[in-house]
Amino acid sequence: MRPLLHPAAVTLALAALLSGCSQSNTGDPVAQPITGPNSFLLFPNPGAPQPNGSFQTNTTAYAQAYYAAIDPLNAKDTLTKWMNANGFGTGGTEVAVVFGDTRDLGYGRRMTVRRNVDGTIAAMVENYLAYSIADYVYNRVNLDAAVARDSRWHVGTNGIEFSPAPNGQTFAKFFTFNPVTGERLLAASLDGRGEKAMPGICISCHGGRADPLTPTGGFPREGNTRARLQPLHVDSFDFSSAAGFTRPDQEAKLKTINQLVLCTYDLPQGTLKPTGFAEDDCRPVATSDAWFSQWQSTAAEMVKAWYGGDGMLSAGFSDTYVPADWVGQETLYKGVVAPYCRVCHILRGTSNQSDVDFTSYLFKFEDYADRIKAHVFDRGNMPLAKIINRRFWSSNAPELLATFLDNHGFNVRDGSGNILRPGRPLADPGPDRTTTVPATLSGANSLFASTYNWSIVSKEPGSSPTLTNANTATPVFNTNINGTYVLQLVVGNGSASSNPEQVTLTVDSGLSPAPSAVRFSDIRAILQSSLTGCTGCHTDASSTGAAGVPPWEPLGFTPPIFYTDYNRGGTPGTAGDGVYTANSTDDDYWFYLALRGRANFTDIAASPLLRKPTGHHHGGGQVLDFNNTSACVAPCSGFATLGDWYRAQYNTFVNWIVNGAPY
Amino acid sequence: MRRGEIIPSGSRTRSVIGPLAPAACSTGNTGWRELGAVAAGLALLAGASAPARAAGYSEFLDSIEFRGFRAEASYTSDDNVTRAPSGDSLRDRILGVRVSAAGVIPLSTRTRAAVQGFAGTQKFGTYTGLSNNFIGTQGDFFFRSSGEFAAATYGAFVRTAKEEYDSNLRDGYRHAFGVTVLKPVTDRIQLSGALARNISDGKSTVFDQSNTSLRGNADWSLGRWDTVYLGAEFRRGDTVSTGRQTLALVDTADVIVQDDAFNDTTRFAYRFEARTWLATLGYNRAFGERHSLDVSWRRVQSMPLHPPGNASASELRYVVNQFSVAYLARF
Repeated sequence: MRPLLHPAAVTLALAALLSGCSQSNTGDPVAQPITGPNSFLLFPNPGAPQPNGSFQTNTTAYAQAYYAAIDPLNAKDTLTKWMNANGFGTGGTEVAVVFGDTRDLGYGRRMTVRRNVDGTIAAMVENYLAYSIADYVYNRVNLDAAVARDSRWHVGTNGIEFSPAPNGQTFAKFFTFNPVTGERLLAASLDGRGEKAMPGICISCHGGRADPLTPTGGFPREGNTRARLQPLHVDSFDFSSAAGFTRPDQEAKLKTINQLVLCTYDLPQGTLKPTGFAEDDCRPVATSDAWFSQWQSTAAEMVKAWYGGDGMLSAGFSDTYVPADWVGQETLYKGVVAPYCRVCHILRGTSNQSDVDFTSYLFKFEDYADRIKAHVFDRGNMPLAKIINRRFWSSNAPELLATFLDNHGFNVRDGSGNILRPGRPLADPGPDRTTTVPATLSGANSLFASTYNWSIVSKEPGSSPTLTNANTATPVFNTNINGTYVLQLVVGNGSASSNPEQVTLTVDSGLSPAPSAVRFSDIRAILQSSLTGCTGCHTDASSTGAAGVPPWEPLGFTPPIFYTDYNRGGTPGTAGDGVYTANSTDDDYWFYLALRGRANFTDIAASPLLRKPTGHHHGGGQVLDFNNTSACVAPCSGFATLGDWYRAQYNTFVNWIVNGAPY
Repeated sequence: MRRGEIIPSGSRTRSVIGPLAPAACSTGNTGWRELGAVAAGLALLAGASAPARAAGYSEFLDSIEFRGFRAEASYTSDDNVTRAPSGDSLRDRILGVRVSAAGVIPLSTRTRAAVQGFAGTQKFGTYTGLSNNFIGTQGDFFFRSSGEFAAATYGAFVRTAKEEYDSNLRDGYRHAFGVTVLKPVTDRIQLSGALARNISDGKSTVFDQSNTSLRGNADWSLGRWDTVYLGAEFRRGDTVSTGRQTLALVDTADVIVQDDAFNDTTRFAYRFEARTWLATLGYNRAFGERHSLDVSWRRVQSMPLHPPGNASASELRYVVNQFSVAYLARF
């Protein structure tokens, strides 16, 4: 009897049944959400916010203004033009090296540096990054790609030239070019976290400044960001084993490049040449004005030390450098500062305020303890590049730094002693201040927060204070009695809550001007007051600018911003005329926009306008001494002491910034 | 009986090319599903005349000629379990056990069907992430044009298996379908060949693979108990190589995923299209009708189809040598 169900059908059906065995690729790595701040390679003091919430230093307009300043005729708008302009492939000194940048940006880098007979120096760097390998990290493939000049992984080309600018000054200028077309780019994604504008992505770690654009949209100081060329820290590089690309094969070239970089660092004013050391022959001697107001070539000592000190007699690179002022703190220097901070910080600072170069423990690094906590452990935007930041957090450096902070009264540990990492919610209710009511508070500068919970901790006896919209970032406080009120903010991210942070509001219904009414004219008056004395140093009287020319470069010992009235925008007669119109013909508006660069709208308490006069890293020391008990005379009549008047002025600064620093 | 003899379309023994497990294939999934749909359709057509009567099922079972169980225990030395280019290969030893049961269903005087179920395990000595268990089934359809001695037997087969590894990414399914031919040349020499499409569906995309293979085999019976066999196979399609990062592999690969089967250092699995040659030389010594000892050597050589211009052949080619000793039993 034949089977009614055909056996072939059974076989095929069985196979068909099993053929349904398939699956989705659940084992593949999934792009991890970006945690922590996405502010790498951006200035931590990002300047005035734009209407779309971005910051001016990270806008297309900023990049356009920069290129317009350093290349007004677009004579270098392609890589080819730029290379031709800088003489690549012609005479002079030209060396090329290939290395893996393991520490900073993770690229395989093919760098060609040249010095022309006229003393100008240019560096062209092709960057290679094999994005296909999971995450943005350094790996040997990046180096191999650079060796092979594998166009598949060529992600960009950078150009830096140290040459005269259209304004006649010689300074470092930064370009980035499309790896395929060679066209000059306004922005680049250096770390896979989206495009960021030029030149901030370069100069944030080359000692540059992030000053605001002028009212005409021009770049400040005609493109002189004060940025410098970086020396090459050879020990942090990876090298190929391919012939011609090993470290021994390239050691001499790397030294040559470091010598060329050194050529861009001024010798101190008054230095007699020859110095007796050949590496100094190419270095210009700074003019008095430049030397005493600008960067002090701090890195020169370090570069020399890498090659045996003065004379640079060692053929090979060796980093045992510890600045003299770090003796006794070598562990902290070698474990934290040298590998994670120095690369950017050593190019920063001026003679007036050089603390930020971290070349001294006692007088510089130690005084930044509060900001170190804020940037490293709270905000997470230091170290400023993603790879170096990751390496920092996978090293012993956080422990060393936490111990340093422990010893300076800053706690960055949880109850179990574990080091706190950025990403946890942190409440920021704003700075203590005097105000009128109703007062709109702001917790918007809280970190990693999505929920807000305000409460009143203490109040004046008999008062009936209220908080409207207490579960928002911007509640409104009101009360019926003048006096002191302490409010508290707790923020959360949905799964964790912050520690409570308090803000003290001193309510003064007669405060004048009222916080919402504070304008630039009020701030200008304070800055120009004889009691603050700011204009004693912040004055255009000591500047290199000729009459009618903006004083781009200050004279000796003067700061980079002036608070005096002078012709800033080329329209005589409007400075300090008492008329405030927000346009480029109003000199006061030029002053105003420059001053806004001294406000940090993401971290108000960190605004230079608040920190400097209160004695934080200020060449002029503490100006606003709240404890000054001197009797008040005009113009501070009405205040019991000069200290009270200072506090009131500081309070005006705070209220101005809290309200967005209106003109 | 020797290793791999069971059905001409080939038994599931250790894969000596590509990963020791499924590698990747999105297109493979689609292809297999289509095949499954076809097979299911044929099954329905074939069974359409069959009202669901219990008697029919019983008669079907009665029609199967059960061919018994087979078991195999093997020891293999593999000099390149990562299938990596020279300098990055890893050696390991593998213990394997495989059991199967097969039945044949005569369909007519010239056709028959066969079904087989199999399961087994492989245990790696060092790289335990490659250890795995598998279970699967195979269906064959055979046709022989005449009963003459030299008449060839033609076949078609479908095979599928589920594999679970001690690591995660390789877990998945392995499928194959194709056609076979078996032809006696003399009373001592027999030739066989197969053209197959092989599809792997791994948990990771890198272990989704598909390739086409053409295989030939010659058995030479030296006497009643001794057989020497020689096989050659060419595969064209996806293969996976696991190694440390090199520019050559990165530029070659279609998919790159960090391999979770190795923890000695960070290694990545690279899937790329390749042409692969396999050669097998074996000797089988039978001890009676039901037992035999099998010794074999296999050599695999694989080269990418699309090597980048900046790579040398040695940077991309991988070679594998496997030496196996197996005890086989039928009961």
